[in-house]
Amino acid sequence: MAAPKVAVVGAGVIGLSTALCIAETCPSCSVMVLSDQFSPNTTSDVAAGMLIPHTYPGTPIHVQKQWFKETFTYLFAISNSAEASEAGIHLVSGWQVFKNTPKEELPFWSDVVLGFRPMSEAELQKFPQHRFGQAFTTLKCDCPPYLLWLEKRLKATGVQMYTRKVADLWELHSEYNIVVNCTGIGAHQLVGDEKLFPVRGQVLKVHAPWVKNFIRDGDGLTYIYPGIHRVTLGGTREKESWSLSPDPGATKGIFDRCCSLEPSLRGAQDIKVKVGLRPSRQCVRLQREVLSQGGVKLPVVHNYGHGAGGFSVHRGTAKEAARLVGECIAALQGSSSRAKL
Amino acid sequence: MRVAVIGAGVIGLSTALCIHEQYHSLLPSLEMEVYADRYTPHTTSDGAAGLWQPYLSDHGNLQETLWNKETFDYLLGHLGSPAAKEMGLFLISGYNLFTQPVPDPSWKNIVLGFRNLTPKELELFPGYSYGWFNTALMLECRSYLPWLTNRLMQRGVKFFHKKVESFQEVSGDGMDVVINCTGVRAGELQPDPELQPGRGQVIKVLAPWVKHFIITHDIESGIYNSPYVIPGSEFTVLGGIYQHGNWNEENSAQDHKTIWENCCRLLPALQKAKIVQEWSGLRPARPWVRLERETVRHGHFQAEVIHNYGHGGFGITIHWGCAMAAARLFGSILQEKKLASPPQPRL
Repeated sequence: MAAPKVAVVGAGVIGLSTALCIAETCPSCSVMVLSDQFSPNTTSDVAAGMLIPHTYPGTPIHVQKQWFKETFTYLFAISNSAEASEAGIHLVSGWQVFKNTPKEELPFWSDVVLGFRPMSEAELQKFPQHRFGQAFTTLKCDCPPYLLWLEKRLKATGVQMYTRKVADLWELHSEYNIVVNCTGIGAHQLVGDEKLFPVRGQVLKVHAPWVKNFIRDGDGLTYIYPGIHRVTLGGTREKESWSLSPDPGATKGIFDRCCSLEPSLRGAQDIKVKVGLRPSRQCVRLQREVLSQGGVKLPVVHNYGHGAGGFSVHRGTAKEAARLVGECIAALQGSSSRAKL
Repeated sequence: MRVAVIGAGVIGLSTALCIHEQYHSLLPSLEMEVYADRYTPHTTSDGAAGLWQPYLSDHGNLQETLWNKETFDYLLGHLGSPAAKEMGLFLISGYNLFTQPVPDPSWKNIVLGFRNLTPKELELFPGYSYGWFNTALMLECRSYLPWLTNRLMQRGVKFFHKKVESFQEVSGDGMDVVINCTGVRAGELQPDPELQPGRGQVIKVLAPWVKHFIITHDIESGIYNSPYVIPGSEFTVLGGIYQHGNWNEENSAQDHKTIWENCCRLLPALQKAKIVQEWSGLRPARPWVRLERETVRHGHFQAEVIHNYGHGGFGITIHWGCAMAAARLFGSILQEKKLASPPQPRL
């Protein structure tokens, strides 16, 4: 097969990073990104982009750790380069605090982030309602900059991007040899995955440039993540809610909870409310599938369902998806040479 | 009782406030006036980035270490208050970098979370093989000095824009106590060969992705002669110049080049940062802080002077401890004049 034509559907962090990995590992491939939304209108744009992993119950821990480590290493190198500000990648230090000591004192990712250690008594005094905490330094991917930087890298390698609403993966079978499904929450309708469900997250993006450290409650519900221009205050976790409309009650709840952790936020200005639907699943769907109709086959690689952990594992899952695309190409070449016999 | 404070940098204004807070209720007749030739944003304090961090070694000067600690604890206590933002006060974490192992500093237990850097962290800083990480405080004087000024004005303290040429000038006006917070130009009021300018230059840039302070150290070149990057609430300060004995307040093109090249080598992404301002200032350097009483006589005029100057590059770091020490000296003056007993410690 001369130049396999690969369509990547979806242009959030998963779609764009997957397209980039495919272009990197398969230079002969002709890769195109198709999506109905691009930055700044993707779910990824709502997320803070903090590299703090979410644990998937259905995936072995060593695999999750490998994905996180690959992602962290990749972004660490960018953060250390002249491109850091354009790519929106920066280091940030802070604290994860717990009202009750967690059952797992050392999370699986503690040796991937930098300088992980328990908080001292003096540090905990700043959080009178919390009894235990962890201090560490990690990375943050600010969106839109990171997505726009990925788009720029893609264009530089010859990958085209098209605004297009794909209603059914099969509609691509005549134009493309392989389809990569990075549609996030869109996969619920696109491929009818009942195991995929939204976890609605509302956040506030505020102007509070004196906040230099992150603070996260270990329960995952309350967090303060300083980005380049804005601080993301969160959040909510509403299972099975599909509403993209901001909820004023949630806004007040988030603001109050964050001010309780960081009182100076009372002075925050220009509060913008955003909502995203985390594409949640027991495990990331990262697998091949072959669609066929009337003797025609369309290999598909699925890479969706990253829930709350998309940024933390995106490069790792993108590399795995690219590897699966390689397998699809090998299979197609195998069958095409068989067809020639 | 009339008190003249000379100098309106961080030392002058905080000393004025500390004394007024402690003694005004005991001494309702207390009248305080501030005299200065420069006010915010034109003081030496305004040019400083505002990072709380003492020098690496206190040279055995435990008193200064204590004043540093008192300042840190005082500021930490204000962090959660509604005033913090207006004061320009916030927490910040960051790195101190060395080319060889060094002993832990006197302030390791004052700051939060002090620890050595891990090998992976050191990968971020090629050329540096050892370092510290800790969380400290920023106190931005372009906010703090106006905040102090407002507190003082609310208390009825009066301000005068005037260059005071001699102690006699203010004591002749009927001042009972003069607080000398004149910083690098204290020698103009009373010669002090120990006081020398420690000239610094900084470049202020827009680099909002930088969230940590990074201070490098070169034991050979001495303090602040090695690049540093300190992110503020609006601008990031790039520096690394310390010239002992240089009185020149003009920006130097050579120093600009030194700062820019060294800081961009440290943080390559800074090449994309937009330069907003350049500033030079004179740190009031002295082997130790001059914080003491003196009775100054001229003819039949006499005034009690409390000196509080010579804080070098750590004025913000030490200011409140010194203000309280100056207030204690003030209290002893009042006692001698049998005007009031010093305030009892609050239980």
